Amino acid sequence: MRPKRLKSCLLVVILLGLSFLQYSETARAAGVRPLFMNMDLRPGDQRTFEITLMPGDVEELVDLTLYESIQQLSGALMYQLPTNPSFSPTSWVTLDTSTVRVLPGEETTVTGTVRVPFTASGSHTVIIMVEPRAPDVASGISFQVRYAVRLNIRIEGVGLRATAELISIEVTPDEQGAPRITARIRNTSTLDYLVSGEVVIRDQNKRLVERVSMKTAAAVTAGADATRVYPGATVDFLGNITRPIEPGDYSMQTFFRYAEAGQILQKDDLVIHAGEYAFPGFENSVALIVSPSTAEHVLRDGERKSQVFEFESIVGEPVRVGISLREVTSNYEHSLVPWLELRSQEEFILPPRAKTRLAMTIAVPRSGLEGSYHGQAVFQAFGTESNTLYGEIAVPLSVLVGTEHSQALEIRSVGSQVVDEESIYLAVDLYNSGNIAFLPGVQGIIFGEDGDFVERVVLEFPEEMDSLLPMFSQQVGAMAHLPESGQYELELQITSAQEEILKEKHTIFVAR
Amino acid sequence: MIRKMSVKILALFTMLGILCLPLAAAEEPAPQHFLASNSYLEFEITSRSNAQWIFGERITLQRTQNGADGLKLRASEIPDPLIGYLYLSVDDGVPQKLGKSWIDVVPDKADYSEIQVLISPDIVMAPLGTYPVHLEANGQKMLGIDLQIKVGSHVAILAVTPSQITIEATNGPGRYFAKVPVEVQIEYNNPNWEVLLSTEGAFYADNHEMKVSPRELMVAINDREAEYESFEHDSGTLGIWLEPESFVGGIATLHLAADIGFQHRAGSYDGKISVTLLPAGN
Repeated sequence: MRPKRLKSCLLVVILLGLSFLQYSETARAAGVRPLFMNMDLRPGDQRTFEITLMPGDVEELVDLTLYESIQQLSGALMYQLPTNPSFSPTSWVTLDTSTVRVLPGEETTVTGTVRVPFTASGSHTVIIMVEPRAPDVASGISFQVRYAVRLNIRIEGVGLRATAELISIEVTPDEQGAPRITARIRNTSTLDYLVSGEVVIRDQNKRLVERVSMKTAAAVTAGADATRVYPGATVDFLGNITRPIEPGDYSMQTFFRYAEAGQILQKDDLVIHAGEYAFPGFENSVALIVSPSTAEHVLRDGERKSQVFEFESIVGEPVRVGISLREVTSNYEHSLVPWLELRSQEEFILPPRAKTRLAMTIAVPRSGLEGSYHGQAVFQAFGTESNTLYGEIAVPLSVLVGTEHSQALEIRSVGSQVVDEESIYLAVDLYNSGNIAFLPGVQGIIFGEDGDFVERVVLEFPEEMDSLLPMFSQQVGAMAHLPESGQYELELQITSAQEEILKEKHTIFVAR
Repeated sequence: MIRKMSVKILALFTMLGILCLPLAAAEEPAPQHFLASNSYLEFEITSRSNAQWIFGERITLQRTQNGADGLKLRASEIPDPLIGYLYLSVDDGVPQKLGKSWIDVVPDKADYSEIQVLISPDIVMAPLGTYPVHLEANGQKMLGIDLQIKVGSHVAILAVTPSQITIEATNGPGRYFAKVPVEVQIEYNNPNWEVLLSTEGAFYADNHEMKVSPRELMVAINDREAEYESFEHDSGTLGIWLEPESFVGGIATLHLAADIGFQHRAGSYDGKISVTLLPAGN
């Protein structure tokens, strides 16, 4: 049997004809505008919309088809024809035509209507797939150019509330054998929302081992921190433990924030066995010492300032150092990166155990900006022969400009989780709504139902954290001694430089 | 002695000042020698025009006072992103690039001309924004003409080339590569988009049981030696996402490959790969 299959296979001539019959070397495809529309509607509402098809060089026949979106475990959206059209939000959408002829030099408009049923509520997504029709292909594989116009329909409803569930969390080796945390989260509500989170690894003495940022594969590709999770979808958030950890017992404190004020808290044990995981590349990650390890400046509008970095190789072989600038997060309004200019090549060779210096310029624009601005200078060390990445050092840079500085915080959510018979873990999600970075003090006073004082706790920021950047969120936590079940009042006092900037009261429930 | 001289110098400056006062008081706006039929034009660019130019409204320039001197126009300042895109045509003549150089719009002794602002369709590549441009007349012979140019979001798939390639698998099981890469060309002026490459695989004749599956079809982006990514990942995730960073100079080069095994019957397989442009993020 096998030789026969082999013979057959040897005769295989798979012609994967990748035909781009519609688009010649110079052909332009029709374009589409807009690519997405957001609609906030009420049950029973009717709303019209327009899609404009821009012409190409030649006449084109364009099909418009309604698709559903499906969120994959990676967080990415895929599109499919509705499997049950009667129960799909695609049945709410009608287009005045499903095929349109687009003539050169003439924009064509297609009108659509959304009719929301009286029973509908929550978030729904409909895709209008705009597909220029390709000529029939006799054989081979054709390429089909498509434009996915996304219609985000959000329908008001009574009692709608964002909810989420942490289905599982596990640590397994990744492709390189390094420990990877996978947290699977399901959106159990009818609303869509953004989700971001982290897992804090601590040793038996509660010392911080590593704070692992959890992201979906789609968010990593897009350079985003948070992922929008759609109603009913289940999504995997991944994060790698990069610092070598000795075999032993550890704890994992999982924290996810979702929607405006939702949070998931869970504590799990983590046991690391000898030889269970690899930590690739770590042994060389200290090939380089860079100073300063952080840089802060106070500058005026239009001022230019040099920032010098010193490099020292501590290995006995040449190291290729790559220099780049990195945003602290994508599309950051307080980004310093556009103000930075490298005054050197983007990489250089550092001889064994040698030192060198390089400079970059910080050029503040003359635009009357206020607040603190942030970015990172990233230095990657590679082996010159193996081209192996030994490691990277990210130096935080910040510049304070202007005089109108505001220190403001918002409490996005408060959560609690029973840890043992006597203690609970309190988690408060803070958002820096001011325009400068700072590290506030967060104190909580717990009162019983009768208003009597019970306990005072200090909620701590991560040990390695110097400041909370503008527009960033951070979870702070503390253990509280509350052995009795019941309802408590938590008064949160947030201070900066010993001045109170926020005081809020929240109710917490302890159920054992 | 020195004191006397100082007093004299002060007196001299005072006299000069007094003499200059009437001159300063008489300073008024220069007389307008020409009148434009329209002094404000708005342009909104939201897509690439197939025409050679985006035409502004025709503006008539009329001499209003006796005289023989002609009229020149120039852009007092053009925002950097618009440099090279703005032109001016006089009496349907050859378009001249607008900039710091003066353009003769009404010749000496002439009383009338017609001008038209022309914009290159390539302006869709300028960053999103609303840009003001002021056209000023020489010697303040005419009030200026203000242009307001709004460049909106633009992204479109221009082409997928070449028109056809093949992957030939003739030596039994193994990975086979397309001999020619495929280029996907996208024109854009903002990063708020991504491209999804997806396929259901290639099918043997019309038999959907026999196919080269998405898992067996793969692509490397921009570098033939780079890691090949399958259209179906081990995790079950379907599709390959390309971010704007993958489009170097607006072009992403796809190196396609197929993993062929014993299970594939000899013959031709047909299928479709979708190149879907979609808004960024989910």
